[in-house]
Amino acid sequence: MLNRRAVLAAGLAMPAIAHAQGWPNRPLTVIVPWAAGGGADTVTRIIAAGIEQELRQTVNVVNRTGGNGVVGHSAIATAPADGYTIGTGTSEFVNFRLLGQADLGPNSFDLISRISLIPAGVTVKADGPWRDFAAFAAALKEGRKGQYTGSGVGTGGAWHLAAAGMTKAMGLPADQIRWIPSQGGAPALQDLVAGGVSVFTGSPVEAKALADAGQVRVVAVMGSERMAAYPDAPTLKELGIDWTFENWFAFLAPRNIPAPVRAQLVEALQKAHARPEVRRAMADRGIVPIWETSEQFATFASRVSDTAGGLLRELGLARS
Amino acid sequence: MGNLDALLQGFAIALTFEHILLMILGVLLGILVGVLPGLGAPNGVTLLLPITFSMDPVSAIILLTSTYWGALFGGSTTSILFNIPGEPSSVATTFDGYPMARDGRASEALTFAFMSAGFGALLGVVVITLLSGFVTSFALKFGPAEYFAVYLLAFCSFIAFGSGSPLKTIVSIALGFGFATVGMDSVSGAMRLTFDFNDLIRGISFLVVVIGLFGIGEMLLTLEEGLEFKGADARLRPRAVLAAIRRLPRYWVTMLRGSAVGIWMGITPGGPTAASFMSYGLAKRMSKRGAHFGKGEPEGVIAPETADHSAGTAAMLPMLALGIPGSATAAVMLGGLMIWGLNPGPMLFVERADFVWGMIASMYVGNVVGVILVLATVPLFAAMLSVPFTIIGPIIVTVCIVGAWTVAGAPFDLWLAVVFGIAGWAMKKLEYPIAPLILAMVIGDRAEDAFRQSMIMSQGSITVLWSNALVGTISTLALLLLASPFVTAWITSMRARKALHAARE
Amino acid sequence: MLTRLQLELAACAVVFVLGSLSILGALEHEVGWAADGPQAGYFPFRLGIILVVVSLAIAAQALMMGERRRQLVLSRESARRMLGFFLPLVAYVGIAQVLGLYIATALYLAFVLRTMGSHPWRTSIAVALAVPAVSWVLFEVWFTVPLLKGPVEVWLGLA
Repeated sequence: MLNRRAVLAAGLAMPAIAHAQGWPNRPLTVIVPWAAGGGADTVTRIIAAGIEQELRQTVNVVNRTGGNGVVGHSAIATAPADGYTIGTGTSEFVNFRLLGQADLGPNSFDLISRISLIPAGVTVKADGPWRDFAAFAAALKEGRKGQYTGSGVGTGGAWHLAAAGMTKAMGLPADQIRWIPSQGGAPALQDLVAGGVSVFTGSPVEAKALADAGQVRVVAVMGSERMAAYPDAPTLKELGIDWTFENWFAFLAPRNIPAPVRAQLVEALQKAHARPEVRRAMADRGIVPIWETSEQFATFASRVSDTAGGLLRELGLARS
Repeated sequence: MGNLDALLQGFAIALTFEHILLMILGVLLGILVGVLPGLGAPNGVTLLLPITFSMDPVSAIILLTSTYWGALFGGSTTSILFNIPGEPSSVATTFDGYPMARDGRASEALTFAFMSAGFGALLGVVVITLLSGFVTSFALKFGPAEYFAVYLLAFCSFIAFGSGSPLKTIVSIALGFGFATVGMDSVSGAMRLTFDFNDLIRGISFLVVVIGLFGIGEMLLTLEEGLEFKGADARLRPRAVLAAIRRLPRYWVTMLRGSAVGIWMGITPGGPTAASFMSYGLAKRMSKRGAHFGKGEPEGVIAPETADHSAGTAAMLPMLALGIPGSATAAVMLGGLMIWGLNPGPMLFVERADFVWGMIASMYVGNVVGVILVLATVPLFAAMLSVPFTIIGPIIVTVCIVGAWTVAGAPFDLWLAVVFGIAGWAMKKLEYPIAPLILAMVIGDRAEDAFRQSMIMSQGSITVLWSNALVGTISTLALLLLASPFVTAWITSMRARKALHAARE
Repeated sequence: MLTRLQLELAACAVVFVLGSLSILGALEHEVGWAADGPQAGYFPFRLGIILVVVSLAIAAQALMMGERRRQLVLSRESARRMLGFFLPLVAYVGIAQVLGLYIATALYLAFVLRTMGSHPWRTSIAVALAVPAVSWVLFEVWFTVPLLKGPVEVWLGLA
């Protein structure tokens, strides 16, 4: 009897001790709105390992997939604002409202910082008619609207905007390239090689295997500078087209986390992001790291929101 | 034969003490995730991924692939013993595996499942060893129209209006396709059939439906008939195991057909689940014992199992050579490759031949290890079955409910599982076939996407399904398969009429 | 207690309702076949119509099925057994929504083993504690897949 009571007492005492230590006294959760093994998931897991080192607490990465990211993003927005749950947001959340998919936008979150950039590219079939961007651009200009097709993501997704912005910067309509929605980079690239799609505007990193196989050719990148993996592919800027497009992942948190906790949290995230082993893991994966202040991120988000909104309207996809 | 030399080198890498140990570890972990409904191979592999960061890439991939094999094997165990598919790809194994177990032939069913799965896996590896070049170029011919044709073929080869009410089969199919359309439409980005209900945005998960229809539905049926396990006797009788192994070669046609289907579906990412359904359907049509399918026919276990595993192994090749993952698990491994600093592609075969061939060799060894280990776990499950039903039954319920949670981490899914449990009971009672609903859910989503993508490409013209030899052949084959039961029925009736005429004259 | 006809008609009603919902939901979108192929509502709309029509046909078939319609698909005793299983299951899922899966699982197992299985308290409680404990190790520790947790785990500093 005594034994049982002693165990009970010990059990009751434990949480009291834990509470006294302040944040963080229990495991953290990072919500990822995309499937395990994908781009956002990989970055998150790499940084999560760093956060564990910084905070000496378990960090659980939880995938909440579905609805083009709506499910995961709304899980982040509605999580308890106690500093124990954050999430990895992807550029999709900026456009949810405009696309009529969910009542979520930049102002639904505490925007912490972008964590990585993924430049878009112009990838065509290697044995197709275009050897360089100039040939592709000429064909695109001569062709009728919708003669050439593009793919890389679902309708209205990041790479669709990349394509629309590019054609617009070339002085063509935003929907000059007819968009074939796809489930992601890999199937879109397969369609490109199979001949159903003329151009892939997704990440050239994803196209690396097929480029090495001599099946596809990256003729331009949309980042602000050339990519290490494709030293011969010029940026659109170099080609005289005023358009850059980089998709991005970011750390988001539910709004109204108490200020002292938030300060500690942001500091830990930034330190984790800067850890040498985290940076090395990102570099190995071809991930471009970025860290900024919340204010910078907020300014960026509102600018992106305007650009994307304009493009989506021109594409006839905006619903509100 | 440069490939064979390279393979021998690969075996030298795979057959070290350390690597065999990793295989055993991976397979055991895989069996565990395989057995638990909801948790699947992608979970197991994702979990191990961080551990592999610091490992040598060959060791890392051996650990990950072995986990995958283990999960594929483990999924069949619970399908056969409890009618609860532990993995999506082992749903088709329940159709004949569970009836066999209920007849007290569990050891036999498990042996058939594991041995034929091992066979399918090995054949898959052999094909990718010998034909890697051809296989990769074949995979690149697949666009949306081809995908749709493949799904159509899988569907047409499985659906037969032979037994039971055709109307009820139609309801099952329509419900399956209907459930698959719930959630965001990935082609237009519109929310369909969600009625502004947040929990429906993610769609209705096919795994939750399976847990409800099979797991909880079966429990309700058992309860209704009184508290006992219906004869599922899993004692591993060495004699029954040996007898089953001896009888296995008799089913060589089924095994070869199943492997062929699986390898094809693995290479052209159709996925192991669709492959197992397709193989089951084809076996049922072509076997002399087709009428016995669904009542505990070994061929009904062998067909889906060979296809499932050969698809799993064959999917590794497009991943390595082209960076195109043929299954969800392969997608996670692809992420791993990049983290270890390896770039998938043909250059990988040249620059890191040790890695590629070490991995391929490990696929041979890993699957043999898998068969042995999974057979060894059977007594464990047998012990579980000897626990009184009033204890094990409720525990299975909790495993189902926890499984429903792990699918998407949504409290709503627990209710969904319960509702589909009642549905499963009623469907059994009223003889609505459950399998077509599941198949329609599995392929419905992707088939609709592929169809609409190809329609956007062709600008609304259905002729895209006959636009080249490849897609035309698959589409035609699918329609022939769909028509064949009606045609045979018509011929039989004509013959009977003629015979009647002849008899009268 | 429940005849085949009653169950058939109930199933038809469910299918009919699901079909109608599918039609209604589809009508929020385009249901036609445009220049770029079938629109978002195309398939759900047609599936809904199929479900509605076929459910009516099955109902008609059931009404004409003769003697089999009176066949008993669920006796009173079976129904009681099923309810005895089903109600705790509903309670289990209900409690899980509030208190999380671990506590709900423990309560469910303890209750069901004690009342339905009439096992002694000792066995019931042992199982009720062992299963969540094993789940904890399996899911939280090994697979790092967090299960649904409630206020109690938060208070204990575990979630």
